[in-house]
This record gives sequence, C-alpha cells and structure tokens, in this order.
Amino acid sequence: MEQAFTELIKTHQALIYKVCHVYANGDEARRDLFQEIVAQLWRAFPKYNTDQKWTTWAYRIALNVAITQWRKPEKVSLSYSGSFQIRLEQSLPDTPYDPTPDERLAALHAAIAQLSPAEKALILLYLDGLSYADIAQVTGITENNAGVKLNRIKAKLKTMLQHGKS
Amino acid sequence: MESPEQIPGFDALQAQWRQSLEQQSGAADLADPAFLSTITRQKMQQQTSETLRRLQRNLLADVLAALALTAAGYFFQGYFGRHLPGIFWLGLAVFSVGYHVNLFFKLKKQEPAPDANLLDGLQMRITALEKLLGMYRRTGRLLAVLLFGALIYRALRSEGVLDEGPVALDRMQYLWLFVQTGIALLAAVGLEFCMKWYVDKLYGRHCRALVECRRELQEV
Repeated sequence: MEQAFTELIKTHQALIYKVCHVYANGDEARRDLFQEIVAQLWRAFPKYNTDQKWTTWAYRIALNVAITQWRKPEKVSLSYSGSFQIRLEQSLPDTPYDPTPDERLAALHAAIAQLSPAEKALILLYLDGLSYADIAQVTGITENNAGVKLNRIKAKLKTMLQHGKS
Repeated sequence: MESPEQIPGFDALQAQWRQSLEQQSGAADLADPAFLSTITRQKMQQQTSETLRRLQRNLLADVLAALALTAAGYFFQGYFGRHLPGIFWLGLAVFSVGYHVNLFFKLKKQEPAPDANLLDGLQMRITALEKLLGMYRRTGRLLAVLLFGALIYRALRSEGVLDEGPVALDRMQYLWLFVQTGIALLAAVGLEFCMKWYVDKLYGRHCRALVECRRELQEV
C-alpha cells in the first residue's frame, strides 16, 4: 500500500505543491507544509474510495491541513512582495507600463498572497481548473456561492493587478 | 447560477499559473523517494496529526501544572499549620488530572475526518478550540480567585484578625491590611491577565483566524 501511495504522491505532487505555494512562503515553510499534507494524506489513504475523484479528495485534505492545522512560522516574508512592489511603482497611472507575461505572473502570485485563506482556497481551486461542482465539494459551500465568490475574487485580483491596491 | 465572469488578461493567466507551478513542483521534486524516505516517512508513521500532538503536549503540561498546584496547596496549608485530610488532596489531584484527560479524549473524538470538506473541518476545529479556550479561561479565573483568597487569608492571619477579630486592630494595622488587599487584588488581576495573554497566544489568535475564514466562506 505504501508503494502505491508513494507513486500516487509522485504523480500528483503538483497538486500539493500548489497548495504549499499559495499558503506557505519560502522553501523551508513549503517543505514543512508538504510533509504535513503528505502525512495527513497517508493517514486518510486507507479510507480513500476509488470512486471519488483523487483531486477533490486530495484538495480537501490539503486545504484542511493548510488552513486549519498547519501553523505558519512566526516571521515570514512574502516571496513576491518585493518584485511586485517594484512593478507597482513602475506601473503608476501616469507612466503606462506593459509587463511581460512573467511579470504578470509574478504580480498574480503577489496579489494571491494578499488574499485571505478562504479566498486563496477558492482561487487556487479555480486556477487549477476545478469545476464549480468540484469546488463546492471541496469547500462545502454551494455551487452558486462558489460562483459568486469567485467572480468577486477575480474582480478583486484584477483591480489589484491593474492598480496595485488591495 | 451566476455565469462565470470572463476577465480578459486575468483568465489568460490561469494556464500560465498552472503550467509554471507544475514545472516548479517537478524541479523541486518534493516527493522524490529519498525525501519520502526521511522526514515525511517519519511523519507518516505517526498515528496522530500535528494538532493532536500539540494537544497532547499541552495536556501533559496542564496535568503537571495541576499536580504542582495541588502540591503547592498542600504545603501552603502546612505552612499555616492547618491540615485538611489527605483524602481531600488526593481527591483534588485525581479530579484535576481526570478533568484534563477527559477533555483531551472529548477533543480527540471531535477530531475532524481528514477528508471532511473545508467548512466542516473549520467548524469542528473551531468547536474544539473554543472548548479549550473556555477551559483555560475558567482555570485562569479560578486561579486568580484562589490567589486572591490565599493572599487575603495570609494578611488577615498575620495581623491576628482571624484569632482576635477586627476590633483589636489599630489604625496602622488597618492601613497595612488595606495595602495588602490592594496587592492581592493586583496579583489576582495580573495572574488572570497573564493567563488570558498566554491562552490567546496559544489558541486564541488561531481560533479567531479560523472563525474569520468560516465567516467568509459562509457569507453569501
């Protein structure tokens, strides 16, 4: 069973990595969160029903660990805040600035880092391409509510990306 | 259901975001066999979650504190030459330890299923944390009252009020008694404040963050 689990983790490590990337800052913290999520997945693995989608099952566990259990180290720095700040300064309204795709991506990471844990969970699931039904299953809210919230978060992120205001 | 709002530029970033993190995760290879064979494997072998282990550590500290307080009470009464029966102290120690152990198992039972949805997980964690916070706050208040009572008792006894009554006191003794009452009050309030601060640091902030997260998810 352990070998099957290890293979599964290797195949789907990107999913866990995304959660770690959104909720933890710095390699050390991400590694710590990754270990905690893998350990929790392992504990829950015997009860995993293969009829269930692995993605929603794993996301439930990973988000539960990241939000409700894992405690961040006291002093953390936002990995993207520095570069984002430079972008913000360069893209003041009077001085139009056309960022490169990499810069836009970095700005998106920085903007996501400023969201609340609940908003992070929703946007993470959305960005990873989960349907509203799957998002509702993972978070426990209704599909309607998930849709409404996601539209708000997307608009908020858009504003942050355009004006650099949280 | 509200239709997904297309935000030009932002939606285009979705694929880029996913691709970039998938590449990074491959490069980081956090799940490589060597890595899984060390720390992660150790964590996988542990039967309890990090939260429960933290709870176990706190429980141990609580039990030791309860026993230390009982022992302090026992010696304190000896200091004043008053002796309550040994069975009373034994009962108190058993009650304190039993109370903490019982609470621990109650909380363990409420440990949310790891694959519960986020809202249910939050709800159960908040309930457990609020129970713990309530217990610590009650303990803090009780300790403050006990400390106040012990200090007042000591003051009254040192002035001989317990033996001869207040009529035998002169003006200076009344003043000294008043000062000691003030000190006792300050000590009790200080103790409760410290306890509140400690509990808040231990669980309070985390609990408030979870409540806020639940509120955000629930609001429409």
